[in-house]
Amino acid sequence: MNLKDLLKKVGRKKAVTLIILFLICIGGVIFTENDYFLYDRTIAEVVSVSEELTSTSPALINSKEYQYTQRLTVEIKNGVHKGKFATVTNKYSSSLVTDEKYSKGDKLFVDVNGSGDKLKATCTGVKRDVYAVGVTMLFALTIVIVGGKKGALSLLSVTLNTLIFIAAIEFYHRGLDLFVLCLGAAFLFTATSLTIVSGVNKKTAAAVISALCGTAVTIAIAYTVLKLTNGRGVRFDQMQYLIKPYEEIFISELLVGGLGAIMDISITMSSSMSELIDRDNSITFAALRHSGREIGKDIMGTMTNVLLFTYVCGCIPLIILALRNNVTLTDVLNNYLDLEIVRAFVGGIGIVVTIPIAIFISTHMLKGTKKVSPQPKEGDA
Amino acid sequence: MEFILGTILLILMIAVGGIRGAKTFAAMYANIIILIVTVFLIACGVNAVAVTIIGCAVIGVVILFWINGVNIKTVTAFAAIATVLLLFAAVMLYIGSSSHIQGFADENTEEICWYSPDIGLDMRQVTLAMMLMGLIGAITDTAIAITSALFEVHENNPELSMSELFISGMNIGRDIIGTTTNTLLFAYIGEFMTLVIWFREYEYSLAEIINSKVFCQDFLQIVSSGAGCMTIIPIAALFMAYSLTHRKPPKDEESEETDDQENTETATVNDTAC
Repeated sequence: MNLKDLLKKVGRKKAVTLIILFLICIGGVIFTENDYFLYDRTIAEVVSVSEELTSTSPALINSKEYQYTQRLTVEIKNGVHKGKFATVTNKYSSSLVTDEKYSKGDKLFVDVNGSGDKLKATCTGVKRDVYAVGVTMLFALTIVIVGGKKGALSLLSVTLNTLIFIAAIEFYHRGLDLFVLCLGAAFLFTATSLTIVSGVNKKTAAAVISALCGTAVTIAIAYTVLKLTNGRGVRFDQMQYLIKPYEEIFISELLVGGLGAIMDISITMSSSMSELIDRDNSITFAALRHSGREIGKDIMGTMTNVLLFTYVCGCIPLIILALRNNVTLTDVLNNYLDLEIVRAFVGGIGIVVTIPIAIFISTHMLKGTKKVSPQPKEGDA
Repeated sequence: MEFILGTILLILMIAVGGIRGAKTFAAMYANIIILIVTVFLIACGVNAVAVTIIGCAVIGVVILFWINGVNIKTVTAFAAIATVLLLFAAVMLYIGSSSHIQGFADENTEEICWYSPDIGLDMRQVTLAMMLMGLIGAITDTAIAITSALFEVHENNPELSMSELFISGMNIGRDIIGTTTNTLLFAYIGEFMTLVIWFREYEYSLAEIINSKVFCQDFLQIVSSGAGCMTIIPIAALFMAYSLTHRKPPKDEESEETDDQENTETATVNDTAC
């Protein structure tokens, strides 16, 4: 397909929008690449590297660890020493567990000491903003190119949800209860996301109510188990960045973590139910329930796996570090994997529980006035 | 605690899904075991990226072929997943090493202070392995959703051409974008919460957050998985449209095999076009 055909197919207006978006993305990356003036800390770019092997030591499990010393020449990009060169010494060992190996073109935050021509500097960190921005732009581009208008709306939904989340954390910092905040946020998350995905209509209302009921039941189950077992078997002290009562933080994390999957199930159920009802208005409740269960069986498996992998992959580096340090596999799994498995299980429970709830609520809300059903209003819940 | 939760999950899955529910639960366990074996092999010193890609292939086999059976839908989904996974690996190999997100950040010091950092294993590869593992679940979900739906479309309208099928595949994909991004977003927010509370508690400035290793590790993973989930949509739609219009009806098994190979060839063409 050549360019002209492609243009005709995509439409001129769309093509122009995409090109503008593309330019914005490229511009954003170029800007962050050169945004030295925004920082108070001194930034320097590595212009040349010389490194030498200083020592070799036997490492754990039949391998060798190589220690290197790097001498970097860096060009200072901002501040009083702008334009001058400085030297930085950096040591790293080949596993790079906590060390960094720098190469030409890397941008570093440095503390400059000394004066005159021969400046010396110590590195305090790597400038990573360009990667954060770059990947974000890549995501925005792919979602809009693939999804068009719907993609742009999803992007909006992601942004709004992130803002709600940041606001919730801010309120928590000001002293409000995290769990209560997360309940409130869950309501907002569900309402905004589902409205953006499928508009303001009865279908969305049914999905929102099912999602909230599903979440409530899931959290009730998780909380009961947590209280009954006193969290036995799970090492909460292995939770990262531990600061405050971790049980409360953990249950809030469970609440928010499963929410996306639960919403997914709810909206899938309510749209398929409304599709079935629209096609054949005389369809019976039993038939609807049956189709709903079939759909549920289809999506249940893949959804639980999405959650499983999303959660578990985060602890891979820590597991490997521990295993290489001759910690036994069972100890490692008990210490690091359990917490993530609990998350995945609770998410799975959320998914499975929501299937019958969503079938019940959507059939009764969407089927209309045939039967006297407990009709929940759109506002409550 | 996880034993009780696991039992509850199993009971619920059987109650809602019957035999398929039990199978789903077994697959979940199988995946956990594959994951542990993969991680264990990496720790034994086998090349991390190679092991992970093989591990992902086995996981794909379990989720697709064991749960949904071997047919044109699952074979095509598998080819699409393999393509996206390799593409993603190539991109993240570059981004991951040049953004210095391997290993552990200063914020993790407390967790790792017991261990020797001299482990004789390149942490950059481990980071890549982690990212690939995080992606596999999500792209499998999307790929199978698209290929199954397209299969139904083709069954009901067998005369549709390849480009018509592709367009309808894209439409199906667009419908699931919103929910897929939500599923991923909230799962990650759930994991991210402690870190964000930490940032707020210790008064990190925006500039400090965005440049910190610990933020970038999570952020790059989240956002790049999102991008990976978007890329699978056109690729799965294209592959499925191709295999549906190019299969020979009588010999189902064989044609799928060849389709699979042809697909991987067209994949490279498609990638450059994208």
